[in-house]
Amino acid sequence: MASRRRMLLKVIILGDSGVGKTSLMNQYVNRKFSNQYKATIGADFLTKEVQFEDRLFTLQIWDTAGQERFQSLGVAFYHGADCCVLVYDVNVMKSFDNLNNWREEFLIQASPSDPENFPFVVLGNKTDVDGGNSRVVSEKKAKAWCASKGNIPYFETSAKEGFNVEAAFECIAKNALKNEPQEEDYLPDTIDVGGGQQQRSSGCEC
Amino acid sequence: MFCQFQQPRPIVHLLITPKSQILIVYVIKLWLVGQYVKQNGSYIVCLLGCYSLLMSGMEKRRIDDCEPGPVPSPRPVDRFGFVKQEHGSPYEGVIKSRSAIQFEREERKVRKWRKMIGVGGSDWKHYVRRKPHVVKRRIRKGIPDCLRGLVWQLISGSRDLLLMNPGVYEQLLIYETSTSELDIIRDISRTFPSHVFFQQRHGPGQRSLYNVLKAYSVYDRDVGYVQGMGFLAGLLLLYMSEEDAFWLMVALLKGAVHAPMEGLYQVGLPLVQQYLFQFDHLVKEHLPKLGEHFTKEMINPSMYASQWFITVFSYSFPFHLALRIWDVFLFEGVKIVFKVGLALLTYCHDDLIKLPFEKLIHALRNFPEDAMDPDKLLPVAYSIKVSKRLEELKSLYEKQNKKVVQSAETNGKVKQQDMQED
Repeated sequence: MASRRRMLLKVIILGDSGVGKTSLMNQYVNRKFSNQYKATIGADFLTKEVQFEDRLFTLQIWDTAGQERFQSLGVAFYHGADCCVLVYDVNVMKSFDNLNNWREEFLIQASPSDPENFPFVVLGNKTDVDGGNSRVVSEKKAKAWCASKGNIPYFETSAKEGFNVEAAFECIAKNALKNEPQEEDYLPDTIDVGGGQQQRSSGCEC
Repeated sequence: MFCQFQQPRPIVHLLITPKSQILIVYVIKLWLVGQYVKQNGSYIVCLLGCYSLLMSGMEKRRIDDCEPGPVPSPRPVDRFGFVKQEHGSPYEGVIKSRSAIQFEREERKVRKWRKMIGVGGSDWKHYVRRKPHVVKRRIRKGIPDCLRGLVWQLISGSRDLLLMNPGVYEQLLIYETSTSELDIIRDISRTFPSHVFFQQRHGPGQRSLYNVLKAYSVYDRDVGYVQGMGFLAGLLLLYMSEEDAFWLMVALLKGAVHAPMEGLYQVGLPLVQQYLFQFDHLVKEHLPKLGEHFTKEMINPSMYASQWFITVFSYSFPFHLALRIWDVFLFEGVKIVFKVGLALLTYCHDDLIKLPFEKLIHALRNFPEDAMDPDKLLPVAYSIKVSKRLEELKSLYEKQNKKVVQSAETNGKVKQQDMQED
């Protein structure tokens, strides 16, 4: 049981509505792009087997709804994440400005043990739109922000054309894996989930 | 002024030229309203409602007068107007063409319903008061598709709201602005993208959808626009006009007949949280073994059931099933959503209980074809009793939530996470 869980890498995709989270996930897992995705309600989920240094892992990817109001449903998904992918649309400034909110919201909700070093990966998506002419966020600007937040790896992608998606998710998987060793030590404790939660809630009530 | 927004909501525009010798046959469901509008020297038949197109062996010409832009390629659609999947819809078997006997049965059913409703719904209230159990039984068997739009408005109380508020929709639509406008626009093409009515960019379907959602976001600025509302509005627009659809949304969210559902969309989604809490308990009580398995695999209803509540099964379920659920939902209230949810889990119990986390999550989002057959699933749903327990669980939820809120107030700021874990 414990060894099976250890082979599992949990990844959460966050970002504003319409930046292409569902498309990126589907492009990576199914190598497909569709113009007909529905807006994600709640959360969606796909898995993919990945091999890394002779070990086989299951990458469990959670695709979330982008509208702010759905964040209250996100808690259940954030918990136990090994890597958080922040996505923005290079053609929409606001989606870039909001990366900071998404990052902070995630750290609050998921409360990882070492928030300073929790692995994030940033993706600037939709580089294909209008041949790059409608772009408003420069690569330089995005990289500067990533550098200021502890050198977050940055990729420019096009889910539509499949550009750089594989490379980005390879990096995501590697970073999720880096987060795992701590998990191994602390895994036996986490099995008793009910007990842990009770303690916390009673702590809050007194 | 009235005409500006009272533009007919056409699904199909047909240009019939006098010299055309080809018989253009579109077989449209019985209740369609045809309006002939003289425009640019040609008659455009504007048809409202859901429809089937019989295309084999017939030549047809579609002209898109109102909207420039590409006309969607004429791909085959099912009887509700959804484009058929390339590999064939998985639910095709369930909704295949009916035999003559079935057809006759349908006709008898429609006649019965017409009698019950009266002209334009005039006898409805009287009938419901006199024979509520007959109405309930007939609705559970499914409202005839040709009368669905009208009956939905009668049972939801939206018809009364419409009559009491003349001109209000027009006012909201034309004179007010909404801060949600961009959010709505972004989602328009992502709402029922495989339905012919909503497929065309800036076409009549998308325009109606935008109008209803914008009007609602102005009508209730606290709720505004939330993803998921589009699927409610979209489903309604396939059966009624914009203004009717708008008032039906008001009736649902503000609670004209049943408890208001605006909490599904308010900040923090309080009603979704409550429903998920209730559903979690119901699963453990009705299906203890499966409940235990879910706990072991760390599955909770927020991972699979939030869509069920937020869109009342209209998001990803086969349309013919969603419609049957909506028939009952509008008459009996939200408890049918719990019942159908439990019925799905009951139906697939023996398979689900064997699956590990990943496969379980997948299975809970992709139920097998036979489980989606309304005539198999709904009888199971009707047999599950939940009303009393739902009330009790609601009180329990409120009590627990109140405690957390109080402790939050005394302890200062508390994270929302703790609230939800309680």
